[in-house]
Amino acid sequence: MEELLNSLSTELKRGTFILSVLSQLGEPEYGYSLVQKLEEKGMPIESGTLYPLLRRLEKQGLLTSEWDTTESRPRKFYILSSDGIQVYEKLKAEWQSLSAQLQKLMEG
Amino acid sequence: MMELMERYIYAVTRQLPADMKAEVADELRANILDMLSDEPTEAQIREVLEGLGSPQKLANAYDTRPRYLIGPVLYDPYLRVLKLVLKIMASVIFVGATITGIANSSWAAFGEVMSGLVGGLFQAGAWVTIVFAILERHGETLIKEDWINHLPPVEEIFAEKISWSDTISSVVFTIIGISLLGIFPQIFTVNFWGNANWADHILNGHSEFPIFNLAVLASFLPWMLGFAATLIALRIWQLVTGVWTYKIAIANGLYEVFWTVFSLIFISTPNLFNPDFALVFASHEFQEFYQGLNLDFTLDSALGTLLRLVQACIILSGVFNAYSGLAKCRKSRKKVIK
Repeated sequence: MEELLNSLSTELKRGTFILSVLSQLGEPEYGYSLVQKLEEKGMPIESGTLYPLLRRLEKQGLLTSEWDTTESRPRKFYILSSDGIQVYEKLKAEWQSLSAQLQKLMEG
Repeated sequence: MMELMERYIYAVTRQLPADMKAEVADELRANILDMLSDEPTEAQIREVLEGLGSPQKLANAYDTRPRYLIGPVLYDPYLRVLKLVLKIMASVIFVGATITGIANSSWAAFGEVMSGLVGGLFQAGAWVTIVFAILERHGETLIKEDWINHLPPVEEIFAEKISWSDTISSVVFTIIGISLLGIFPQIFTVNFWGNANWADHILNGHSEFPIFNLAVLASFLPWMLGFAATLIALRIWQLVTGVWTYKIAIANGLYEVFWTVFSLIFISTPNLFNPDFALVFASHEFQEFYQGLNLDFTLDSALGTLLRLVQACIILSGVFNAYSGLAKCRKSRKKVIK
């Protein structure tokens, strides 16, 4: 029972990863800073899931990236592209309506 | 200290496509270093790497190309066809080995053909796998967009299952038969072991002789190959579909019609039989042998009767085979309409 619940809950959360990531990338972030930020805000994504996801979103044209070599350590920063901004706004609206509908459903 | 990290990065990136390898490695290294303090202990490195998960899993997350030979859509048909082909292959080799063994009256000959079994099965399996892997890569059109127009026909619902063993044995005997006709036509011989005396006399020391005139038989061989190939294709189609449908029954009926006509032409061809054959029947000894049985026997009438009997059998079996498939479809269709 516990195990099933865990797997169902993981599956439910997985659908929200992209929206979570897009929501935080109005400002440039590098991989680990994004991990920390999401954790602080109570929506943790494992680093092993997040790093490949950033790459995929960049490949899909939703993010752009740049290496910052001015600090002591080089870091790759990601930020929403103009496509990314549009997609984020639309997904956000979708999420809000979905969430409202679901709320209604669950109230019976 | 950083050895562990470099080994981890290598393990993740070694199988990635060349164009992303270096980039992923750099990024992964930067991310791992970010998660570590400036002077990390080995225990801390282990903890961070374990948090990232197994290298294989991480590599899979980076590389999303389809990396499988045969996907879920084709997996079931693949297994079905694979089993089918292996069964046919094994049966052909076994029956072939048995016939070769008997023809040469030797276990060694049997063993020699049987020793090809494992190799033959691997070959067949490899080819089926290759064909399906190609379908997987280039067969997008296999999944029909307009599936609504391609639902199974109504006669399939209560259709009689096509018997696997019947169909496979039909394929096996077709392959064996055509191989024997093509490669060892001399195997179709009549033996006179029991009457060695007069056979010896007529045939100059041979107690067996071929039934067919080999040159005439050879001229029919391309046709027979064509029929055999068609029959095998038809049988495989039947097995893949699994039940009698009108399409299959009609194809089967057409095949039977052509095959019957061909068989009638074949059997009535002058000089089809070995001239020695007639020699034996015409021989004084043979006539005596038959008269000894108190039969009213003349050569021409006997051969004529035999020929008509064979022709009747060919026609009857053709009509029966062609009709039975159609009858099965009609039966199933009636059930649905009810």
